[in-house]
Amino acid sequence: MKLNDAIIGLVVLLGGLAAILQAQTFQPTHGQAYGPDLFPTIIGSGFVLSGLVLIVGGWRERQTVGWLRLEGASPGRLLDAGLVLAYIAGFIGLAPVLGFLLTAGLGGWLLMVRFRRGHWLSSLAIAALVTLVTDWAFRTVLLVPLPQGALLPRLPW
Amino acid sequence: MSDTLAIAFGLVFDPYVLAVMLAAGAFGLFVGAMPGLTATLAVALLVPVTFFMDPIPALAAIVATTAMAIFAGDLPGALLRIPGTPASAAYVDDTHQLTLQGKANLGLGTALICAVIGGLVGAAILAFTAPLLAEVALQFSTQEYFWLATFGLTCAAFVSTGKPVKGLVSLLLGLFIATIGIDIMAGQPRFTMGSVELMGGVSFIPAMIGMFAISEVLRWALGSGGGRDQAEPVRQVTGAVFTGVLPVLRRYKLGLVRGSLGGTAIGILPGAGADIAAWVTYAVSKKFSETPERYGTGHTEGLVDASSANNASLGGAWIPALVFGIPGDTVTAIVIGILYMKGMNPGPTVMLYQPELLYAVFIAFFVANLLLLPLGYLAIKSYGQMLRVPREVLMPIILILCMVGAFAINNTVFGVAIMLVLGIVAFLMEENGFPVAPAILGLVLGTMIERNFMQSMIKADGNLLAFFDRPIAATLGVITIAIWLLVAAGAARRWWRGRPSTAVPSSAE
Repeated sequence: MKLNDAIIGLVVLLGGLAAILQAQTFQPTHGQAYGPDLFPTIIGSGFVLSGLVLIVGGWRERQTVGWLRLEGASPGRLLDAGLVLAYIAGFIGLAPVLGFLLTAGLGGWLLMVRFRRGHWLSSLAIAALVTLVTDWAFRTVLLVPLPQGALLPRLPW
Repeated sequence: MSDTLAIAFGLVFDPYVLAVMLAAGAFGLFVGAMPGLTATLAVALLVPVTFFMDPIPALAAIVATTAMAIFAGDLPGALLRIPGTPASAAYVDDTHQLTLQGKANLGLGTALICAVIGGLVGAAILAFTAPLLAEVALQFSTQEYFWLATFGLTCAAFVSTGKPVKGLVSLLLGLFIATIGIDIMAGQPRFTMGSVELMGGVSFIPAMIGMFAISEVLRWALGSGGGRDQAEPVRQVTGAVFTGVLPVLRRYKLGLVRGSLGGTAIGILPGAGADIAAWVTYAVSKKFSETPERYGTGHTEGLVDASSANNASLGGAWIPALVFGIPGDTVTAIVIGILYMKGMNPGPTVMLYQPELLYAVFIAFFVANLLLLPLGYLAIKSYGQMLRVPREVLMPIILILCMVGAFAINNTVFGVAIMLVLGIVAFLMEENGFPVAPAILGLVLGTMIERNFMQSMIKADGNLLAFFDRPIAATLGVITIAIWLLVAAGAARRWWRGRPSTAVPSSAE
């Protein structure tokens, strides 16, 4: 997805302004010339300046590069990318409830089936194996408290 | 000194550390050899595991992974014309043409031997200069560190390819992310939007994993990266790998020296890593060659320069990282993040308090590059098998590892959310020509710059001239400001000259 520099520049500019405004609300440090607002203000000003440069450059190029290009991204490919994002977002939302094994395993399985256009059984085997090995390596060996969830019993190892 | 060296040898030649290096090396070879998976991604995936290791095996694992991955990128470059990592892109036409001429063994053998030699030279320069520089760096105060970090970020923003303003935006983004959380001097929460999770700041490792791994998976899913739908058959490498390499090296020994030294020097520059080292040395080699017209047609001369340079740059990048705590490339940026997490303070004090750690890294570099010879040979011979693992299976597995890794740092799904957001941001940045490396360096160095600035100002009671009081600080400051002025002047000149880069519409009419 390629956006015209002017659009990105506008986002950068507005973000910079927001950062500067927010920084003005920070409490100054008593007895010091510079407080916690200094760096955010400098960074915000940098954003504003570079945003302006990007806007002007993008405006000049609008005839040649246009505003938005979705090169070679077929609907199927866009769906693939969307599913990748949905998988991670789903993990963030569901893992605390369903647990790591179910969320990562089921999601990984479905994603693999989608990418491979089928192969349901072998994908299930691979996804299950990878999830179990990851669970063992991180939860059992490295003692990371991966989300357990309420549905599955705790594995004996 | 000899005591320290003996301790360091003992630390590295420990069966556990060597086994870790071997495993990490095999992992690096595999990831590097997969088109579309970079050396930095290999390290980002490795980080959650190294998080739970002692510093020495953790650093040794990273050294081994990168050394292997950079060479392994040559394999798909030669056999499929898809560089496995960006560092192999400069000479992909040469190695692929050699393969088409039936000389894949010559191309890959040369690349392997040059990688080993370049890596060893980089390691040697690292081992000799780092302790000397550390002596100097011990004299540094907050002003010097402020300028050094600013200088590093300046290089990172402007050395990277593309428009300088895009490098600058990327850098500012990294610096901005570094300000999120409780402010270090006054305890003021900044940009936390009321979130308790954000009070501690944006964790570095989930950010890294997102910016390097998630963005790559997205690129692959959309088919804009290399490697999806490849139809070309994989050619097996037949015949002896190293026959014919020696005459090539003898003929181009100057290129070997030039590539190794140039690669190390480029590696030292913050923000310029193995890929830029390969491109620059390839161009230099072509410029000085007697037969520049043969470059890109299966000629080994540029290959010698560039494939020694990209491995040499790895050692170079560790010099500023170990001496000043300023990363020379994205991999050492991750390393610095790891060292901070392990409660160590990357910089010259490591030399003072833990010199054995420094020497262990040097030794690990030598071991890793020697290990590259047999492992690289095996990889050349078994590449066909390696490619049988389909990317369609690999990508979901990578995603699972990423999510677990991002989770494991703080044991909360909030890390996964950071990974997701920054993954999308990095993907959009790369799609639109914004380099990601400056953002990573900004994220790592942001806190350090701000702390050193504030401490200097408290010491000097708000007098900005204090930044030029000390000779080294003044020199660094003048150089940094000069670079900024030069870039600004260049941009302004292009600006007034009109629109040279976009002259299409007016001339078309």
